[in-house]
Amino acid sequence: MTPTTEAAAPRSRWARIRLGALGPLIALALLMILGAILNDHFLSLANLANIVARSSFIGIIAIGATFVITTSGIDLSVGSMAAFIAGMMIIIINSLVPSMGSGWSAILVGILAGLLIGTAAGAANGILVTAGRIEPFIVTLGALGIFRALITFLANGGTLNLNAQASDTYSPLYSGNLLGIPLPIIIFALVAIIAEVVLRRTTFGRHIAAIGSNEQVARYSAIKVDRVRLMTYALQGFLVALAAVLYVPKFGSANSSTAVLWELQAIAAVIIGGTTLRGGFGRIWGTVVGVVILELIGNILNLQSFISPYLNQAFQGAIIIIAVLLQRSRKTTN
Amino acid sequence: MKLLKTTALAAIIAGGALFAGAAIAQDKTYTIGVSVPTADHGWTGGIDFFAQQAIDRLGKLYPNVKYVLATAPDSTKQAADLEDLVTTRNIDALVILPGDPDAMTASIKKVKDAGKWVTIVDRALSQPGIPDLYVAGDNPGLGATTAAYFKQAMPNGGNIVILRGAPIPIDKQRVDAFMDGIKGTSIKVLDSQFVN
Repeated sequence: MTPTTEAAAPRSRWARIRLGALGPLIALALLMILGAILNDHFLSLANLANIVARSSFIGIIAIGATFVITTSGIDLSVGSMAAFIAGMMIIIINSLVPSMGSGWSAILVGILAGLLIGTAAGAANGILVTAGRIEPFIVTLGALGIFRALITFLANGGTLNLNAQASDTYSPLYSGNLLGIPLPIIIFALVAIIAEVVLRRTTFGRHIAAIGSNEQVARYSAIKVDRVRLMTYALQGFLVALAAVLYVPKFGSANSSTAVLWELQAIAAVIIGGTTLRGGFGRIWGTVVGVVILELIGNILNLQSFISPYLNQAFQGAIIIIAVLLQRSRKTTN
Repeated sequence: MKLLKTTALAAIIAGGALFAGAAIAQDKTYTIGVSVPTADHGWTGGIDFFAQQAIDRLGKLYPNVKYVLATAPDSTKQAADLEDLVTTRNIDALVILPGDPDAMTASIKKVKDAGKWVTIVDRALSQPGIPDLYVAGDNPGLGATTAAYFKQAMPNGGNIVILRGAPIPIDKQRVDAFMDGIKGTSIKVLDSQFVN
């Protein structure tokens, strides 16, 4: 009995790993082939660079969401938080321009302030979840409303615009490149690499996965569950602020309709990438692939004039459902 | 509202015709990109409908001009559309109704700097001097006419509240013209709020 089962087990585990990991990659490859067929300019460096650069906003936020979801939590406030942080950054930079000039010094203070505000906002979510013992869904749903109202209040129902000279200094952070690669892509890649290392190779990362898969066992294993949870929410807040730091040079304004529904796109990217919503397992590079897939759908629909552009979100929704179905069928067959 | 839809139609025809008229002399194919907000309510629905109609009509009139229509629900997607139109569809000219003109200013400036002919419809940008053609309704006139009506309807003054539209520059033009119009009368504005 035992020798045959031992011989059978390694082969099915290998098959399971291959299917699970390759799913998002196969989808990405198919979409790339479709795009290349539809339009000659699809595979041009400029187009691909555009796609990856503009997925950096949702991508950086989704990497933070991967950590949160792996602990079986969730953060619905990321879109409104991004809008709030962008608004605060614009206010701070605009108020510093008269005294510090419109050069990098005022902008760096604004960036630092934004990162601090984001981390603090994330930590506030985390404290309510851990010490307050409130469901993450409820806490972040409330935070979503609070931040959205705050940005509307700060903009007085209108729009906050970045000072024009400061905007000229700041915009190379999004449109500039280093060695030919756009800066947002470099920052996105750095965040993804560091996050993958943290999740896979550090104790912190293993604790996150442990808490997500079975919180009670993690607690009995002397893992500081509350502290780790708090840190994931604070990390999410920091990454949301980083996305806002990249958003402000491209768009230069913030109002009540900024970053609406970004949380759903981030969570969708995380799910497509292979991280399970119930927690316990996280895949950072899967999230990156998921973000690029979602952005590719919009790009491919722009390449042709046959399908109505209104159907963009229908395709995104369909891909999310298919991705989850594939994950589920893999589990049941094993 | 019909006036504004006709304005949008006129913009597409004007922008397209001005460009296509020059194009018809040569035998080259030109592409005009049209970027409008998604039809999330009646007015934008009308914009999209009449834009599509104008495209169909002009497509038959000028056979060597192609049109590409892109709709976007928010400024992030509209900026992405502009990048795609320039990079993958190789447009020569752009006709755009920016959903959020402040957020779109930098993106439209990039299209202009890439050498494309830019027409902006209805909502002006936060910086002047970017579009080659700006087509809009007479927004100050709208405000002034409304003020004239109120002066006539309320000769002895009274209390009014102002429900403003989207927080964009043309709304400011209308409200400023209205406030100028009722200056000196005893019409009192109790409150003025953005409700869009």
